[in-house]
Amino acid sequence: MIDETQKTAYDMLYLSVCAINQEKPSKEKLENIDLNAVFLLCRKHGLLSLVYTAVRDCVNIPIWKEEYFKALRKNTMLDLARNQLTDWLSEKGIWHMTLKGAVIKDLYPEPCMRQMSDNDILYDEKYRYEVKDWFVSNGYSAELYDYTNQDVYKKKPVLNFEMHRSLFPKEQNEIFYDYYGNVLSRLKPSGEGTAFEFSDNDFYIYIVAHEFNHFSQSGTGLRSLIDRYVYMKAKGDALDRDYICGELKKIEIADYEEKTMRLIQRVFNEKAELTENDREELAPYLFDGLYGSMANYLKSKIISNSKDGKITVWAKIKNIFKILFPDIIKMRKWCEVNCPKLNKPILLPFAYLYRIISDIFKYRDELKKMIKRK
Amino acid sequence: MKLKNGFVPHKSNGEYVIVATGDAAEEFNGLVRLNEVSYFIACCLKNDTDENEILKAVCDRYDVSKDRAAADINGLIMNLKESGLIEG
Repeated sequence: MIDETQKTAYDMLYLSVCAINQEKPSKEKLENIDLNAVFLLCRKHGLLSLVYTAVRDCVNIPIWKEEYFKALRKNTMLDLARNQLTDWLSEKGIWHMTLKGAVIKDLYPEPCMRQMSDNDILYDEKYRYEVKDWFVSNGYSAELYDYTNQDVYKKKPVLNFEMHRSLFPKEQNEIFYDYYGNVLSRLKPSGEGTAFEFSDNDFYIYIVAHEFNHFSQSGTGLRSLIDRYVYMKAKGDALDRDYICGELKKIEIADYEEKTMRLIQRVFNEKAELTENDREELAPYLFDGLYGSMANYLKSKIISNSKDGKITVWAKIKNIFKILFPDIIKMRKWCEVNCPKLNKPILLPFAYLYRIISDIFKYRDELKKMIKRK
Repeated sequence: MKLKNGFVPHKSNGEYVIVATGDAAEEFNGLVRLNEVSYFIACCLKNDTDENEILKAVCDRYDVSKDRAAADINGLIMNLKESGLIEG
């Protein structure tokens, strides 16, 4: 027996499967779908545009149409801004690579099915000061700079760049950090200026690693699985499974990839009736939003901060302190999503207080379990 | 006449649009959807031009009668002018 929240999530999944396969949803199923609830959930998952393409001919929802065109506008503006930056990077001889959504979105069956929230660019970190100067002189503000492996630049109304100096920071995943240590050796020139790119196989490995990184920390949403499905479908036989499996074993995520690939094929390709096992495997992707949830983040931190598998009182105290007072980068990211008005250096102390009151109260059960855990 | 500063025609994955960038984006937060031919005309308008030059370019590129092309070009330019995208 599933509750309303679960039903909405499965309805969103059903419509996503229809959209990505460019099939009309069945009339009977549509009559039993609460489209307002699905709309709100799609917004959380970054799937408004995708699901709109499945329902636009069947129902008239003006706000959804408006959101679709807003996403189209944002995607276009991000494209133009990215071209402006990469032209400059090439002019200066700075090697760089466009990552993630900006690459995958053009593989979707229709324009703007894949909404973008920002531009992710990997580049030669020797030039980080010059890059910062370029952004500032072009009207961007440096929202996050010099705290972690990526700097964030924003410009109203919608422009947002994450400039990566490495693909994975050491503190997040040491295995990935080592594997991608000398990343340029894994890339090839794209043929456009000083732009580089992964081979098709290596790009697939990267998106799985990126997905796993999110999954193992705060969780990740349905869109990750859809991205992977779109990529596999677009590249088809060009992907060398033997090579991919070999490389995934080196970074210890071969099992994860195999399990999720089977799930993706069942759900999106075969459109199979979901078994209990499918629902269990899908749950983390369906119920935690686009970037995962605070609850998952807490859980992963409890496990990773415990020494030698023993959870001492001191470890618990350390965990609680880290959870209550995360570092500034994490705090700024949290503010961006949960309380943008407090996302200013001078207001951060209030943001910490707000977070303690709202999120810790919300996840008090998880914290209680952590405190009682032996 | 030409497109005002900041208005940029762009195509991506089969979609043709004009969006406002830079300062223009603060005043115009819409989007203009085009088809392939109107996108071609919008690209002609990136530089200072007139309707006769655009007409010649369209007739050279597409298999269309002069009268039909002239009417469509005029219609598009009137729409873009009314929306505030064209100067001159």
